[in-house]
Amino acid sequence: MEPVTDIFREKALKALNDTELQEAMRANRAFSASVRASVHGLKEFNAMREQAKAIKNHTLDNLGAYLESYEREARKNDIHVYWAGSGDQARNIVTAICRSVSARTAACGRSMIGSEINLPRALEEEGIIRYETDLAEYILQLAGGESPSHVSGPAIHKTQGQIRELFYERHKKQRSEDRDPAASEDLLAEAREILRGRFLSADIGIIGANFLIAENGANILVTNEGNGDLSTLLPKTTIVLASIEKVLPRMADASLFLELLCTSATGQNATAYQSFYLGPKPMDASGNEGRTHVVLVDNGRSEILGSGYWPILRCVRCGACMDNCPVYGSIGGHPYGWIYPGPMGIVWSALLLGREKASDLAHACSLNGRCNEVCPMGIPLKELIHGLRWDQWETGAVPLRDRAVMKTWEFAASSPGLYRWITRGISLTGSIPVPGRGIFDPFFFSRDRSGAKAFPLPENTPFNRLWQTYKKDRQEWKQDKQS
Amino acid sequence: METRQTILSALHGATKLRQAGQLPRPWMEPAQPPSGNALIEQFMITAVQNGMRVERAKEAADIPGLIRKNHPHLLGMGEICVAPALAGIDWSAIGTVVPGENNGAFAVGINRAHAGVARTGALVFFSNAATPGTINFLSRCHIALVCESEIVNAMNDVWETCVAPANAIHFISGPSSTGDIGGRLLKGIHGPLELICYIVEKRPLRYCPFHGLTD
Repeated sequence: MEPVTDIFREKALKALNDTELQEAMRANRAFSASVRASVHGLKEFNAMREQAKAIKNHTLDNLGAYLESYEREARKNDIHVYWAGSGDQARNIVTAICRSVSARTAACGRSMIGSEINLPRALEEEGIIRYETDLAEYILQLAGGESPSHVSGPAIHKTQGQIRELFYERHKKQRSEDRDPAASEDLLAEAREILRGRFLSADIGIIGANFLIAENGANILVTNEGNGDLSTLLPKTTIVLASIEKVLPRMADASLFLELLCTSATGQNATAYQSFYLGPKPMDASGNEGRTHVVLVDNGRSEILGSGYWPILRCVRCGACMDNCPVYGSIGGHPYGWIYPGPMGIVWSALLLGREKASDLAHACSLNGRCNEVCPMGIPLKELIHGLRWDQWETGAVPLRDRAVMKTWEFAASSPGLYRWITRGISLTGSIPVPGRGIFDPFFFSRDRSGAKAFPLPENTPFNRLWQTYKKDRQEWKQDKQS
Repeated sequence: METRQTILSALHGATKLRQAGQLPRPWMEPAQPPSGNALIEQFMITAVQNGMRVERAKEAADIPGLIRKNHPHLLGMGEICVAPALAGIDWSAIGTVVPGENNGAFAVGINRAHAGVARTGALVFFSNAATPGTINFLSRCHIALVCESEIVNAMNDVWETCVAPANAIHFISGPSSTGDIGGRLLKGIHGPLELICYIVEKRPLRYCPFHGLTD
């Protein structure tokens, strides 16, 4: 999808007033709470996270060598390996493979890198009919190509009622008469029936990879639905798209990363399907031999590796950071304007699209650090987002008005007397009665138009005065005690 | 080749100032893993939590009778697809069985698992001619057989027993499921709606992922 990251504020305001989205986000908050309970139940979580972080850091320090090893081993397994420096190159490789096998239809599993490089549009331009097979992606495709709003649950912004209406409208011809369109099980059966035919008839399968293994050339795919496996096992030709940071050194590392990924993404200790693909399908009864092509995509990663933002390359796309983010929890994923929402999305979007295209996103964060606490890869997201704000400040990308406000704040906050005087003044004006409107609002100019956020008035007695009183009382108490 | 070189040079340039440390050892569970019956119990508990139905059988030959007794609804679902590795078992009690791949025509498929993993409650399947992967994904009901002695503690223990390569290794811990409609976990979106696992006490014959059952 085309990124639209520069109108975050408008989209966020719209999202706050969208009642159906708010209903869907409430359901997601309940889901996130159950995931958190599972993470807390994994007593070795912190030790596992430290170990995973150390392994991933080592891998990133030697990324070139591990990728070469992966390539060598994958080729031994009869897998064709390609390198793509940019999204353009990756799209060209994929469409060329499709042309070489005369593919007209493609069963597509969910692939973040595929969405990142806008592969759906390239396939469309090539005249290839794209069957989205992940249920959420299928729902979004039915909805006219809506963008995903979460990395592990792309359609969480859709309520069951909306999906029911969508299916009712789009499946009219295929619907069995005996189905109850209101029952979620029947909605599922309807989708299953339609998608099963597509798996069986697709000319080519296009999937992503959660991890690549350097020591034996394996591609690991993790799903609950099994759609990625069907997209791999049924068509004769499979294309695997993987970004270069997905590589892990050994098979023995997979279990650690898989457990952390699954627990943090869905609260499961393992998803229903975790598959290690070691080569193409063997020749079938009709003499057809399978072919597997792996496209390793850089698309800006090597540049990130050399920057101060390299820890983001540890990201396993579990979605834990967004599930625990108060901003994401209030507005969902669409206002972020691209495929990566939430805290990790702020960083990925700024680095891959350019800081200037994602300048508002760096401020869609309260810096409360919950994302740091829950990230299974120990990515310091809060610090990275703070870093993006610094970059904006230092490159002069912050608007003059905001700079003036910040400079004024800096001046006031570094002058204790002035600061006390200002806060006292605000506090006093905030208690002035205004006929018909309660009390005077000294922050009327900064009120958020959504009404969802209000700047709090300072307390009548500020903290430093309370502190002085406390110190004085304590001094007196000590003197009394001594006497 | 030019792109490959460009990417590798960029990666080398990006990391040359870093001090690359040693590769840390793989993760090991700090606690003593269970063994014997406790291991099987843990596998059963975790697998059931994942939505799998787990039953025990004395030997593989008892499985057709158990299916007939405990899952009679499966008998009216047409011919049954069986992994060639299990073709030596007499399946006549449950109707006509067809050894080989599931091409989508079979509602019920029976496969031989290479191992079971107690920590995650997952069954491990090799995808090859003896145990085709399509049985695991295209059947409406997926039935699997694993021996008690093949249940291991963690995923990494599987690699120790994995001597023969296959084109894919699948860890399957429950029926196909999704939470995309109404945030509720629903079973059977693409793959099986049911996953039934038989844990067999007596190992029938030596199992080889490439040659099926052998002496």
